[in-house]
Amino acid sequence: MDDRELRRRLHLAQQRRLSGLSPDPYLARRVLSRAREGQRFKKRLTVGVILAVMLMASAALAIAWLSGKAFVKEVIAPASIRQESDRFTQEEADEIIRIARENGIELTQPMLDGLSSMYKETWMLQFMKLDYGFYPAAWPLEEQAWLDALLVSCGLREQRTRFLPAEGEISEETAIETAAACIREAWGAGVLDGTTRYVQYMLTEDASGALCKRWDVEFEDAAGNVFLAQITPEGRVEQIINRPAEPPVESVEVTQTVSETLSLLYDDSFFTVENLARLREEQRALLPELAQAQDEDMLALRQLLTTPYALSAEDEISPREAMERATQAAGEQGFSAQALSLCKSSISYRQYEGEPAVYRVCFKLKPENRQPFYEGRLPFGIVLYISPADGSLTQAVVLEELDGFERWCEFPDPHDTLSHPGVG
Amino acid sequence: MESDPRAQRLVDMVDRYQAQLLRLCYLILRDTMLAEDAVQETFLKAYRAMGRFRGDCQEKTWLMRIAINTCRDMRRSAWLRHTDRSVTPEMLPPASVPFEQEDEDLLMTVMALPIKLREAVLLYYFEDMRVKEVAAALGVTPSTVTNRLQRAAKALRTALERGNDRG
Repeated sequence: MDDRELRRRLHLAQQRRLSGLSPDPYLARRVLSRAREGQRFKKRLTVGVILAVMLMASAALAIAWLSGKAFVKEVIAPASIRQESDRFTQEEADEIIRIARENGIELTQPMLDGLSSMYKETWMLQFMKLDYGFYPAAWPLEEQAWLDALLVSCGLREQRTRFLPAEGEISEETAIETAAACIREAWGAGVLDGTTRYVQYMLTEDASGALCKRWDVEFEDAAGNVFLAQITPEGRVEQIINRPAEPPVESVEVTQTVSETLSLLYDDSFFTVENLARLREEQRALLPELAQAQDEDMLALRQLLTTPYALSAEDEISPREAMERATQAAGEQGFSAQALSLCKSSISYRQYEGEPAVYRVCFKLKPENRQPFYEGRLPFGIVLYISPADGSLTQAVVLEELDGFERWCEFPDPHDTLSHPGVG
Repeated sequence: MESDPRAQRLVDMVDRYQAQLLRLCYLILRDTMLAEDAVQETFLKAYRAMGRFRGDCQEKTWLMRIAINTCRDMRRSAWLRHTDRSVTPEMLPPASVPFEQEDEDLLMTVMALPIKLREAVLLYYFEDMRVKEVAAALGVTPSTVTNRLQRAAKALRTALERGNDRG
């Protein structure tokens, strides 16, 4: 057996036997979130063996912990190094909460909600907030650095990200004075009156992407306008920013509905004529909430809700017949049945104003089947427009290149308001 | 849409390579959850290093190199050093499409290979890299890669022949 044959068999083995390894539809968002917020990346699931829960012996209960910080140090940190995962087990979590209550620490519902993620890092943060307030950036610098060092020593953070100034670096007072002076000079003497101050001495990336320490001094007024100065350890002002207040966020209820609706869009089987028509009918009320959307998924949802999806009439061909006709037409365009089996598909019925109704059927290669495309043996996909009146093909568009909407077959379309590099 | 070109490129890369990377990391780490973590870590590193990617190799080669190094780091962790990570067919994730017994036998053979041979096999046979690219990704000479591939191929062919004898 030559190398080529061995490679072919290995490819097949991998594609078939490991077909159950499912990609995470939210991965890009998770990565961006971590990259932008500088947060430690959460493992999705716990790792490996769960060691026996041997939390604080009852003897320890005799001690009355007076502060959240002491509780973090004496209970949560020791408990967190008993097993390798980023999260506590349910047994560990129950035990920690029991100890907290028995020691007079009041756990409010919002706090318990915050603990539901089970991430050890979150637990430490929540208990520290009892002493120092909700926003870590408003804590004393010493406490920010203390928690950061603890997270590193417990293996929950890879490197230090919050610091106290070292010898030769400017002090916190100097950083604040420097920041305030340059902000006042840029935007007026009174701009910082009545503002709340947040100071962090943190690890960040410079313009070239290299890691470096920076003072991050923020002032926020009552309306939510933010003045920010970033200062080097030597005291040089690197940049100052005035970030206007953000528009009001959507209500929790709306956010939840949007989130639930978005989750539907990650299931390829959702894209049927009936589902799309129902989505538009039932969720149009969300449109005003999506007016300011910037997020890719939200924009996609807005596009779906503004597309004139409908159901076909009784005297028109059915979606099934339209799909059969589209499959046949795709074959005529060079997409064999075998090629189509490598694709995901969607079908919708659209009724644009002033135009005849049309079925739109799109086939795009699934991510795991794109090798033939990369090798130039197959186009990326094909869009077919079928007349509901007589089943005739009205237009066929072969997708020669990746179109920026690989995740969904519903985009792009000539009527779409969505735009993307590479989409004409 | 993402207005930041770096973010948009990340979204594209995730769309295009996530499934491939997941399988690669799984075959190295032999654990689904660790593989998922490794893939996430790989894309984060890629995002952060995007400005430094000079196009001296294909984007895919670059990502594979990051993934291999990420898996190596994870394997070096105290946790994995002290854990038995041998895999039996029952421990493979359930397949979502029909498969042949030969598929499973082959993958089990790959996962049983010593790690150095396994890395070479994954990049050369599964990811279709050339010997020179595999050498660059693994930080060894092309002749070392050739040698590792010859040893691995022997084991794989034997596994296939065993399967044929059974079948």
